[in-house]
Amino acid sequence: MSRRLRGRWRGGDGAAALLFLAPGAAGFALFYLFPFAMGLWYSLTDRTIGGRFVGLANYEALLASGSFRKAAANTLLFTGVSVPILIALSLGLALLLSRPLFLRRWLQTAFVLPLVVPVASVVAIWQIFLDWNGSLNAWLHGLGYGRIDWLQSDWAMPTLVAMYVWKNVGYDMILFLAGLLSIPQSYYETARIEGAGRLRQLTHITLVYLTPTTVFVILISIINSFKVFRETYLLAGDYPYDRIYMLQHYMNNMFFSLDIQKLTSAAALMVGCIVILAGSLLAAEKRFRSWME
Amino acid sequence: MEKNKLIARLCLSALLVVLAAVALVPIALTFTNSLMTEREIGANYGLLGEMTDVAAGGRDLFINLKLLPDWLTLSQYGQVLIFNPAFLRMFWNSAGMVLPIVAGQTAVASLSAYAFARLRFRGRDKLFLVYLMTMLMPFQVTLVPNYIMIARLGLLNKEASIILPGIFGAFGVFMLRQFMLHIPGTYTEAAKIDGAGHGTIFARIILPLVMPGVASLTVLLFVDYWNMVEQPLIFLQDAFKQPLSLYLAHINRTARGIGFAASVLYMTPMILLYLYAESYFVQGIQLSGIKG
Amino acid sequence: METICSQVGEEMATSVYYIGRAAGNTERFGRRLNIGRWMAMKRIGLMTALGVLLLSVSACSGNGGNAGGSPSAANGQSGSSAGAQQTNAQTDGKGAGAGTKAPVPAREEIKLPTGPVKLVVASFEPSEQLKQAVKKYEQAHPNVTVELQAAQSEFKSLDSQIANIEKYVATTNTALLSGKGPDVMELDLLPREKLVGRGLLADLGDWMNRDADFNKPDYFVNLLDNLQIAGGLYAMPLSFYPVALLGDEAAIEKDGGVQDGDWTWDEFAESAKRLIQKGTHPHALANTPDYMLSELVGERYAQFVDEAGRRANFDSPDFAGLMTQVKQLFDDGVVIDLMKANFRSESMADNPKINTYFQSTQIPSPMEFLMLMDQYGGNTRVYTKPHAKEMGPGGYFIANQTMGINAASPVKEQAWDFLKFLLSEQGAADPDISLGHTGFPISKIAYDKEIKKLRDEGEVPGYKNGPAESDPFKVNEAHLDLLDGIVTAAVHPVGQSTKIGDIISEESKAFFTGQKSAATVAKLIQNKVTTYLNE
Repeated sequence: MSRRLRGRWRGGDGAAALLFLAPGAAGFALFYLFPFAMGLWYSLTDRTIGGRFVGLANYEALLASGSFRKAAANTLLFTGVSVPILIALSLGLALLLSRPLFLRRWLQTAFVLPLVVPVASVVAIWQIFLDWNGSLNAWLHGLGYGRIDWLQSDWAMPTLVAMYVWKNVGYDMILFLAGLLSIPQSYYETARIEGAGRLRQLTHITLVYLTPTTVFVILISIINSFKVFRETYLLAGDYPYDRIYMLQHYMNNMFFSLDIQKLTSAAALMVGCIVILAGSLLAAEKRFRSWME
Repeated sequence: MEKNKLIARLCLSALLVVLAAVALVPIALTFTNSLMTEREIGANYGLLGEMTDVAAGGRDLFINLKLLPDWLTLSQYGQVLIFNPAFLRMFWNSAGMVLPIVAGQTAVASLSAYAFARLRFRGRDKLFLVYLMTMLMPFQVTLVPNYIMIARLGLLNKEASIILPGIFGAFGVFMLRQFMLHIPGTYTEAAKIDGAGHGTIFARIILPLVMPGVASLTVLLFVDYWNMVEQPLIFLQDAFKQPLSLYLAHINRTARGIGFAASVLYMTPMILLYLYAESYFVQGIQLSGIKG
Repeated sequence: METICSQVGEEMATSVYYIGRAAGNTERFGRRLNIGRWMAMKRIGLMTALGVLLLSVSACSGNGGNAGGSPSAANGQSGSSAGAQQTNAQTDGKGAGAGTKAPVPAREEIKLPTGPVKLVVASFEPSEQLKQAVKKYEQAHPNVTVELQAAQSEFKSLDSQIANIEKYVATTNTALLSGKGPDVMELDLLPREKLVGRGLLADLGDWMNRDADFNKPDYFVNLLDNLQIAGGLYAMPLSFYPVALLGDEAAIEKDGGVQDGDWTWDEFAESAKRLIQKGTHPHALANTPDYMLSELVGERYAQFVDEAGRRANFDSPDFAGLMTQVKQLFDDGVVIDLMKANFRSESMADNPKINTYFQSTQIPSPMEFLMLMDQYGGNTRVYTKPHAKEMGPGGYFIANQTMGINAASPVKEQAWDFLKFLLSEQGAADPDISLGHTGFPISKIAYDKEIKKLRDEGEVPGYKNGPAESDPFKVNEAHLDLLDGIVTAAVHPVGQSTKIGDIISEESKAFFTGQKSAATVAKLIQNKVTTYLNE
C-alpha cells in the first residue's frame, strides 16, 4: 500500500467508503437494486411489458381483496408470535451453551443440525407426524382421543410455529453465540471486580453489547419466518387452512395467476412495513453505537 | 457450594440433552429410515396422505413409526449412487455453484460491511436500508426483472446466472456489518494514531476479530445456497446443470426410501462444514480472549 | 417388465395424488395417456375396450406391482366424462363469436422469412408425434431450426410429477412475463385464461382468417369455435378425445329403460336407482364420490358460487345435503367407487366397469371406439351424458395438446406456419406410432383417412402381448357412422380442472370415507373457496 493512497484515505471516509463499497455495489445494483426498483415500478403499472402507469390503482385493488387482508393479518400474527418465541429460546440456549456444561459441544451441534436438513426431508418427516394417519394421531388414538387434522384446524398455527422454531433455533443460536463470543472477557472481569452479580452482568453487559446482534437476529428471524412458506406449501398446498393462509401464499398464487401487479403491490406494502420496523431497530442500534464511541 | 454448582450443572445439562434429543428426532428418523428396505418403508408409511374408509375399519389404521429398521440395508444408497447418475452429477453441480458463491460473497461482503460499520459517509444508513430492503423482497416479486436482467446479460441457462447474483447478495453485508459493530472503537483508535489506513485496519484488526462471524456466515451461506430452489429452477433450464437441491425439492411418495438416503447424502457436506467451522468458533474465543 | 411396471407404478401414484387433488383435468388425462402411449410403444401391448390404463395397471399388479395405483387410472377414465360444468358455466356463450367477428381481415399469403430462423417450441413432455413433426418440418424447411424444449427430461430427479409441472408453469410464466419465452408452446398445463388476459398469447383465429393457405373446413371447426377464450382462439388443440356415456342397452331396456335425451345428474341418479333394483348389473356407474360431488356442484354452480359477489355458499344445508346424497348413492351401490373396486381381476366379466349399466368414457381412437361398442355383447349404445339444463345440446370432448403462440415472438409468421403444419394431415400422428393413443386428429382430412382405412380393411387386428389380448374383429360400419356423428356434434369442452372443483374434491374425501363430519368438511371448503374468490 503506497503512502500516497493512504494519505488520501485519511482525508475522508467518503472516499474510503467508495473504495470498500465498489466491488459489491456494481453487482448489487445489477442483480438486486434494479430488479427491486422494477418490481416497485410494476406495482404502479398495468402489465409487465409495455405497461401503462396507473398510479395506485393496483394498491386499491389489493386492499379491496379480502384474502389479502386475511393473509396480512395471519402473517402479522404468525410473525408476532413466533419471532419472540424463537428469539427468547435461542438466546436462552446460547447463554446456557456459552457456560460450562456437560456435553456442551455436542448439545450445540444437536441444536444447529435441524438447520441443514433439506426442506424435502423436513416435509417428509413432518408428514409422518402430522398426517391424518400420522404418528401424533396414532398416539392420541392410543390414549383414547380422536384424531386432529393438525394443519387443517386451529392447531395449524401452533404447528407452524413449532416447525419454524425447530428449524431456526440453531440458526439464531449460532448468531447469538458468535455475538456473545465477541464481547471482550475483560468487560466481565471489570464488572466482577466492581462486584456486579450474575444478573447485573447479564443485563448490563451481555444484553447491552448484544444489541447489534439482537437487531440482526430479529430481522433475520422475520425473513426466515417467511421461508416457512416452503414447508407449509409442500404440506398443505396453495389454499391451506384459513389460519395459515399467509402473504406468501397470496403472493405465490398471484404469481401463478400472472397477476404481477397485485403481487408487487402486496410485496411493496409488506416490505414497507418491515422497513419501518427495521428503521426503528437500526435507530436503536445507532444509539448503541454512539454510546460505544 | 461446589457440589451444588455441580448438581445444577448436571440438571441443566440433562434438560438440554432432552431438548436436543427432541430437536434431533427428524434427523435421526431420516438416517434410520435411509437404512430400511423400500418394502419396509412402503409398509410403514403407505397410509400417508390417504383417507381410509371408516366403514372398513379405517378408524384404527395409522402409519407405523419405526426408529430402527428390521433389516439394515444400504440398498437405498446403492439406488441413489449407482443407479441414479443424476444424483452425483447434481451433487457436483451444487458444489460448483455454492463454493464460489460462499467465497465470493464473504469476500465482497466483508469489504462492504466494513464501509457500513466502520466508516462515516453521507447517506450511509439510507443506503444500508436499501440493502436490507432487497433482502426482504419475496423471490416472486423480483423474478421477472431478474429474468430480464439475466437474459440481457446472456446468462440464461449458465451457472453464472446463479453464481453472480449469489456473490452480491446482501445477507453477508448485513451479517458482517453487525459483527463489526461489536468491535469497540478503542481497538482501532490506536492503529489510526499510528497512521494505519483503512486497508490496514480492515485486514489486520477488524477481519481477524470478526472471524467467528465469518465462520458462521460461511455456514449459513452454504446452507442457504445449498438449499436454493427457486433461482436454479427458473434460470437453469438444462437439467444437466441443475443443483442437487432440485433433485429432491419434493420427494416423490413412491420414492420415499430413496428420498431418505438422498437426504442423508445431501446433508453430509453441510454437517461436515458445520463441524469444521465450529472449531473455528472456539478459535474465535481464544483470539478475542488474547486481545481483550 | 418389472422395472417398467414399477416405473409406471410411480407415475400412477403421482397420478393418484394428482387426480386426487382434482378430478378430470386435461393435463392429467394427457399424462395418463402419454404413459399409455409410451407403454404401447414399448410393446407391452395393452389395449382393450376398457381403455389403456386400467389394464396397464392390472398387468403390473399381476406382477406384484403396486395395486394401490390402479384406481387412479380408472378414476381418470370416469373423470373424463365430466368436470365440464364448472368451466362451461363460466365460458358459456363465448363459442358463438368465431364466425361473426367483423371486419374479416383480407386473406393473404403469409410471407415467411427466407434467412435462417430459430424456432423455440416448449412442451411439458413432447409426444412422439410432436418430435416426428419437428423432424419433418425441419426437413421441409432447411432454413428453420426447431429447438424442442422439454420440461420433463430423461435426466430424472426425485421430484414428483407435480413438482415438474409446477416448474414448467413457473418457468414459462416468468419467461412470458419478461417478454421472452418460447415461440410456440404447449398450453395444456399453463393458465390459458390468465395468459390471454395478460395479452401474452397471439390470437390464432386472426391467423386462420388471414392466411389464404388455411382452409378452415378441413378442420373440426365445431371444436375450435368452442375453445375460444375472450372471443379469440388462443389455444389450438392438436387432437381431442370425444367423451361419451356408453350403456348396456339391452339390460337398460329390460330393466325399465331410462329417460333419454337431456338429463341432469339428478335424473340420472333417479333412473340408476330404479335400474339396479332389477339387477342385471349390480351398479349403474363407476365413479369416485368426491368426483361425483364436484360434478353435481358444477350442475348448480350459481347456487354455491357467486363469482361477481365473491361469495361462496358451501356452509349451507344445501351443500351438506348434496354430500349426503352422493354418499348415499355409493353406500347403496348405485354407483361403485372406483377406488375400492377390484382391479386385479383380469377377466372382463368381473371387471367393475363392465359390471355397470353405464360407462363414462373418453374415446381414445376410432379403433378403440369400435372395441368399446363391442362390449355388452354388442348391445352398447351411446347415451347423452347427464348435464346441467343450461348447458344445451351437443356432445363433449377433451381438447388435447393445445398449442399457443407467444404474442411477443419475433418470428410469429414462422411460428404460425409451424403450428399450421402440426395441425395439418402431415403433422398429425402416424397411426403406426400412436396406435391411436394421441386421440383424434383435429384435421378432418386426417380423421377421414383413418376412418377410410378402417372401412377399407374391414378388420381390426388383435393384440397379442400382455394380458390384454384381443382377437381381430370385424369393423362395424354403422358404428363408424355413429362416430362421425359424435365427433361433428361435440361442442362442449370438458376436463379442464378448476380450483374450486379441486378443493371440493380434495376435501370431501374425508367425509366420504367417514373420517370427518359433513359440517367440518363443508366449513373447510367454504373457507378455502372464499379465500380463492377474494384474491
